Amino acid sequence: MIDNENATTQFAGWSPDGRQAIINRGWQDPENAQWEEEHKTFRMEKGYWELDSVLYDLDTGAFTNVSAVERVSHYNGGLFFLPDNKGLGFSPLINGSSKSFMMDLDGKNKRDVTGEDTGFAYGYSASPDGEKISYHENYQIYLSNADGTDKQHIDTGNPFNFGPRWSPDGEWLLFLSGIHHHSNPFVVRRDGSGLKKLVDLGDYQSYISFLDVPDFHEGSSDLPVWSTDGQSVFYTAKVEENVELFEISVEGEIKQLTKSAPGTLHYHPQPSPDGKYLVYGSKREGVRQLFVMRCYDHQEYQITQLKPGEGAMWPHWQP
Amino acid sequence: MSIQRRTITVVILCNLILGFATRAEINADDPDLVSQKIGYTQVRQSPRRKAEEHTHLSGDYLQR
Repeated sequence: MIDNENATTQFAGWSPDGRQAIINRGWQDPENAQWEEEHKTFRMEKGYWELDSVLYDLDTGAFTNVSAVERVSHYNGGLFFLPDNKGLGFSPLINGSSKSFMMDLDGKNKRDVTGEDTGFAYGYSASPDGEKISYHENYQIYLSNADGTDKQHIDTGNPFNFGPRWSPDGEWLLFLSGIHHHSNPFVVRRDGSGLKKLVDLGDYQSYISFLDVPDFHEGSSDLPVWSTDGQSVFYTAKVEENVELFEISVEGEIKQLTKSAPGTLHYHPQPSPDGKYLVYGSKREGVRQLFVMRCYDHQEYQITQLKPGEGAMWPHWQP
Repeated sequence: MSIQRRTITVVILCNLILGFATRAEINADDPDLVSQKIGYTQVRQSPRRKAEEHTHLSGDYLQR
């Protein structure tokens, strides 16, 4: 997949049966990269960027570029499997605007489900029963039926709302809300009721840089996640100069899972499918490594041994 | 439970510069852990690039 010196790949998830890995293949024109850095803005038109989502079959070793089948965009991110193998969701960039799309498992029948009055939409996912979708559009949270109809705005009163995630039972959405770089986890029911702030992140910026180099893109979002049983939420929050790992129960009880040396960062928590473990990234002694914590006694294992100048990001448990 | 040496297999199917696969070994005392796999992305600073250019090589949810 690395077919030239400016191409990149990123591990982006698994199929529900764990037999296929979702891998993003990206490319950026190096002159555009320099232009973006100088102007501190994105320039993502065709010819400057490419992003495709590819399915890698672990049994056969076959790669299937589902973005390239009946292609609708040069930039296709956010691929995920719809429940019950009903298809795939993804977010193509079309005429400068990101959309919420669905397609069949073979990449055919791509269709826009963003609905009417569309702006820049991503952070897109489907409810566990497949009946509803959610996403943020122009940094506002929206819910709709899976075909894009009955679109509903979740009005938080805040200008920045980001990354809605479904609870395992499909009854709640978890997302960040506030102002850019100063937002906190909120929850709301799937019918739009019950909106409430879950916890305060201590002014955490909610993103993590890949390496310790300047980058106006701001690296990768670092979002709260539901526990496997949906009875709590794992999140990262600022504590003095550190970013520590926490868990809050649905009843509001907070546990601080890490208490670290000064300068330590934590990011990208992901619970295991059986709920027994939590994987996350942590920058300690200058290097971003992955760790696994056993939930019942908080025993921690370091699972990567990267060198300075390297970093481990975006862990995804195989189902 | 006695402490035993176990191995967790970590699959690196891709990174931001060159694709490769590797395994990471840990000491664990829970047999359930050793059978689980985690896919992730390894980033590194390319010698071909200035440091500040490297992080253009990104994806995921960028907060625009």
